[in-house]
Amino acid sequence: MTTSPTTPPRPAGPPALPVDPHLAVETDGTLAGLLCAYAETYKRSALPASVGLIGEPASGALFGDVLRVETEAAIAGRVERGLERLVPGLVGRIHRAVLGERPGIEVAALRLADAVRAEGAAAADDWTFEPAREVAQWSGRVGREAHRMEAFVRFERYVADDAETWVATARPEYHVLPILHGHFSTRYPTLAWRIVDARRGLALVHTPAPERAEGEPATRIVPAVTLGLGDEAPDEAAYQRMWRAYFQAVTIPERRNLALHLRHVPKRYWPYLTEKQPPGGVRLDAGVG
Amino acid sequence: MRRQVIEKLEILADAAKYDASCASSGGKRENTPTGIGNSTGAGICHSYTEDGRCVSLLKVLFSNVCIYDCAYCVSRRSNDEVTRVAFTVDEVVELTMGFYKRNYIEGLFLSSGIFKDADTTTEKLVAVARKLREDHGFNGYIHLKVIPGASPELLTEAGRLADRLSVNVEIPSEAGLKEVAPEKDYNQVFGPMGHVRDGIAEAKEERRKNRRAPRFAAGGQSTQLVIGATPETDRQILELSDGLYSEQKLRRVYYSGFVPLGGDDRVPDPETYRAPLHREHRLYQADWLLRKYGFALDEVAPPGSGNLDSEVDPKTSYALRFPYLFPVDVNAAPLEWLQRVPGLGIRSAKRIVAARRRGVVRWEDLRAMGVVLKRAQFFLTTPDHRPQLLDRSPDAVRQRIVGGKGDGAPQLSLFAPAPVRLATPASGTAPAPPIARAA
Ligand code: SF4
Repeated sequence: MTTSPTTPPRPAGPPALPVDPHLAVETDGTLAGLLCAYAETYKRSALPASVGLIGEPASGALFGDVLRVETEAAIAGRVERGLERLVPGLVGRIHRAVLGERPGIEVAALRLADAVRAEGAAAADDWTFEPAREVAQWSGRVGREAHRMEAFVRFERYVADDAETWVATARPEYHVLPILHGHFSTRYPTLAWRIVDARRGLALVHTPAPERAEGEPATRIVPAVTLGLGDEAPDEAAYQRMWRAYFQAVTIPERRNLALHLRHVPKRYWPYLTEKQPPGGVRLDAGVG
Repeated sequence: MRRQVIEKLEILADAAKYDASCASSGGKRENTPTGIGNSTGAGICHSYTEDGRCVSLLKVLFSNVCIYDCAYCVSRRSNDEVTRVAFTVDEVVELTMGFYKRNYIEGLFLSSGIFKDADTTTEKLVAVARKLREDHGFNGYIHLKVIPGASPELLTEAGRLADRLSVNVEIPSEAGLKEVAPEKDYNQVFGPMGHVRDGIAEAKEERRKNRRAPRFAAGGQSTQLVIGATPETDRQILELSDGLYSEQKLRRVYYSGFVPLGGDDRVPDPETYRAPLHREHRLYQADWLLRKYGFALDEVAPPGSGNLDSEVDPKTSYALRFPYLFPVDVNAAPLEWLQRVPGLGIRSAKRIVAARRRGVVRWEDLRAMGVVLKRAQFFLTTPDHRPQLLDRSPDAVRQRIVGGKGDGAPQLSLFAPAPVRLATPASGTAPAPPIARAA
């Protein structure tokens, strides 16, 4: 492993701020929290060797100093604008990367942000600079998983008291719910829908405009257990059958190629794909939540 | 009622499946607050068939009743083996909406057998699109296949409603077409194609002047060529594609390997015919070089060269034909040259250019940047890597590449390359091991 934060970056020289191996910070785990952590550590002229969650002490290492960062929207906004001015899209890249939940990625993100500040925009796309590469690669992985969710989640129609809800369940590898809202909100602005992340027990819930209170956001992320479910709509099973029939009909049997198929649709997505369920079958944990 | 629809769906999807196009990219239709759907993204494959093709659209025929007799087509008049059915306009509309809301599809790709004449058939396709757009506020993707010979008025209406239009050329030479599709000729194909091209150009011009001017097939126009039913060579096929891109301004040409169905001796027989899987794949790679990498036709397929090299990908084949142009210096070559190196893609070439702004790029850096070293190693230099083999013997390089696993098979669907965002498959669960950097 060369991910140790003390590896001197090559070739542009170390970023202006050194990493203090004894400094740990704690944040609320949000992107805004991380941006505030940068502002805070910048004031102290040293980057932390670890970024943890408030209340969850960093394991393994012994840190002399644990700095608890309060998230303040104004500060986060300032850091975001500063970074975006230098490298448009960088904050989104960092956001996706940290949603990969990979230990150490926050430190890489802070080093990248600092390098961009100290050395200019070129640092952000220099793959020979490890933090830049790590953040870009994790951003790519998380982005691809989000893109797969945009492709593979399947909504099922439920009805309760005349109101319909469209429910999808998935087990994304990474915590992608926070970056899915834009796509699905523009696609289905008039539908009440939700996407349940069964791995994390969370749900992204969308409320169409007419049913929203003034100022309420279109989507929220809530614990999945708090959500009720109506009855499956009478036409739901028929649509699922038709989709399976369609899927079978479009295959060219002479060219079946399982290896290629699996590369595109890895097995781990199958439990939640309508077309992969047995005829007439019901998904294992359809509509969990 | 459902039972009937499901049976039609099976028959009419089966009949449409040989059309290779399934792209949903290039659309520019934004959703409205009360509408449903959008097609502004890079296109989404919602599933993949078991043969590895992208499933993005509900791709069906409106009807498989056809008065024509094209030898390569399962719906041809003389084929007694198929059950003839037709959807109603409402059935297609309901299926599209029901599938779209469940996130099964990006939209609809509607085509049809010619059940009466070109206009009557096209009218039905247009009616489906109109109902989706106007009655259901549907802003998802609609691709209509225009029937050869359809009238300009209908085409204009179709272009207003659809994101993409296509007129299939099908057979890569007119002589070949006459052989296997006696009722068709290139005029019927290129007439509508030209009309659509002009419609697209006019609408673009109008929108430059007035942002609110209506769009016309904003996702562009595409066509399909059937490979292997008739004897054209790859060079002839690519020559046609090259012309279609430059003169007809097509967005995409799709290559569909002929699948012999039997029962018609104007085309190859299933007993003796080997599906040209590899050939189709090489054609897509060559097409990609023409469209995205700035290669000229003659560089990819020299005049009179027959078929593409089946052993190596077209870019490697090019490099081996022009060995004196290589190796290329990673730290000095302009971007356009880096992109011409086998094993280097557009993205890795850009990464190299970005990295060398800040320092020297070394051999080990390349792997992390996504360069396929197995192929690229012979064609580029870094301060710590100076290959000699190409100078001494291009044939030896070929042997090494063919012998190894670096045959250049891209990680794409063999038939309809996936939209760009999925082009590099996610590395799955495990992160790539970090590369130790030479200090
Ligand atoms: S006109 Fe179209 S549907 Fe009819 S036989 Fe020819 S290719 Fe098939």
